[in-house]
Amino acid sequence: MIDIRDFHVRYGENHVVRGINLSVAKGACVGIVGESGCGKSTVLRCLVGLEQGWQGHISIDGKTVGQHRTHDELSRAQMVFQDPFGSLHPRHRIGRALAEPARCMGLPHGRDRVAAALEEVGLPAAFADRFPHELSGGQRQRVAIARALIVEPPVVLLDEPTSALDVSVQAEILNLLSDRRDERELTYVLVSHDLSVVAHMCDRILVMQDGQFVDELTPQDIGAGRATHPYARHLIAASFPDAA
Amino acid sequence: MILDIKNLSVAFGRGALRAVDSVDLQMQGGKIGIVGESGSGKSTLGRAIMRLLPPTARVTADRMAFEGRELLTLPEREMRAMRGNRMALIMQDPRYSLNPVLPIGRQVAETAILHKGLGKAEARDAAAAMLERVRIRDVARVMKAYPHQISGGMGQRVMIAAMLLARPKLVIADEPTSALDVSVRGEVLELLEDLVVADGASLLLISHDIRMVAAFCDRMVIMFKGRVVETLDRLEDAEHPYTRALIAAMPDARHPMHRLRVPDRSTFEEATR
Repeated sequence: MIDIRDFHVRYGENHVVRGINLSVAKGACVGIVGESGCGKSTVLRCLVGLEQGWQGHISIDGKTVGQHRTHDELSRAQMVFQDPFGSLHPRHRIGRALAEPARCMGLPHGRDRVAAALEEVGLPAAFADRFPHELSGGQRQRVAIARALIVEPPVVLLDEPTSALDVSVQAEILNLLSDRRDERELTYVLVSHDLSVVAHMCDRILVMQDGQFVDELTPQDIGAGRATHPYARHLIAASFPDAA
Repeated sequence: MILDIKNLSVAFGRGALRAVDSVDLQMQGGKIGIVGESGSGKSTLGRAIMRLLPPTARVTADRMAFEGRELLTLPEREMRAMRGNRMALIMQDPRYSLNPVLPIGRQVAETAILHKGLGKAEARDAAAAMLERVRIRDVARVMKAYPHQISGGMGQRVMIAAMLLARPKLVIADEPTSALDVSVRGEVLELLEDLVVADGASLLLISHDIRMVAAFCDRMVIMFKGRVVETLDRLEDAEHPYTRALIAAMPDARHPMHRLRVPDRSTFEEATR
């Protein structure tokens, strides 16, 4: 579903992503973990088409995409951002925020479509008339997920989707994401610094350091504390202080 | 007894809703963690102890004594002498709590001038010594640097240095590691352990991360809707439905499951009443 080869990103002198390769099968969920500044979010932003100036090869759903995307290419991958407070327009009602991407892609965007999109993420259809500040953090993140799903992308990119949320709300959002994946056979790439979230959601976990993948783990590896690369071992030890 | 709180409540403005509701807390050294989700009143409790709440807050208590002195009736002038000196508050994000237009060295030295009555040159030396104790390698460079020129983990260490310079007896740390990367969190906690607990002071750690608190603290107090629902020594002893729901909602790499258990709020809202 996703294929990235010899992928580099440079901002001037700063070599942010240094030659990564990644292929993700349809319906899979791959996690990327690493510290701030390691380049994990940059990879997602390039995949979704927000960044230009990268080098290498990206193909999504069997089609090679370039720096500048057509509407069809853009609708193949959608992103959910970390901060549900920052990713919704404060002066647009929820209905407008949801209808806009669908309208841009030439898809149906009437009230019925918006209502269906809201119901799909477990929100009442009446929320279409509300403003973002009238919603809680978890509800806003549900809207952000509905916004990504409304253009029916085969690939959803998740950039720290629950790190701004309480654990009980995080559980609801992670369940919602799992359910939608089972239903629609979505392909996820999940970026997070929380190893337990990544281990819960993903089949494969890539450990990123200084713009490169240094280790690949399975959820079982994380549960058992098995890792070969010293940095991956350090991350696991730091994430589960009670296990030591 | 370092801290002795009986029946502490906080309400804001004319509202009848209590952000903190009849909380009892006794502290006699060591590390106590306060755990709760957003809106549970955990930070309000920390600020109430420091008397740092806005004037709209109505704070009432049968007793709120620190080192035997009643805090609620203490004049503001004496309170000010106490804050940063006998008791200190470490906040979440060094990017917002450090002054962006002053070099690091001056901000740390300020504590020494204020609370230890040192002269400017002596205060600078004290600040440099303290920065060394929080394991900052290149002290001379960091002293001259501005907050935006250092990393988040280093910023938090600078905050800790400034707060601990006067050797407070009670340190309240409000989410000291939440803004930091996972691998730096351990170092900051270790530092708090070495500098606070080894110095004979008490640490009140406020956090949403129940596992981290369970691993780090001697005792934890679980808060929900302003009330203390449970006080625990070990996570395994949790009995209250809220605490159990909180633990069950966390993904655990050692016990994978396809769907997480979402807390059913009605069950424990009943149990808190």
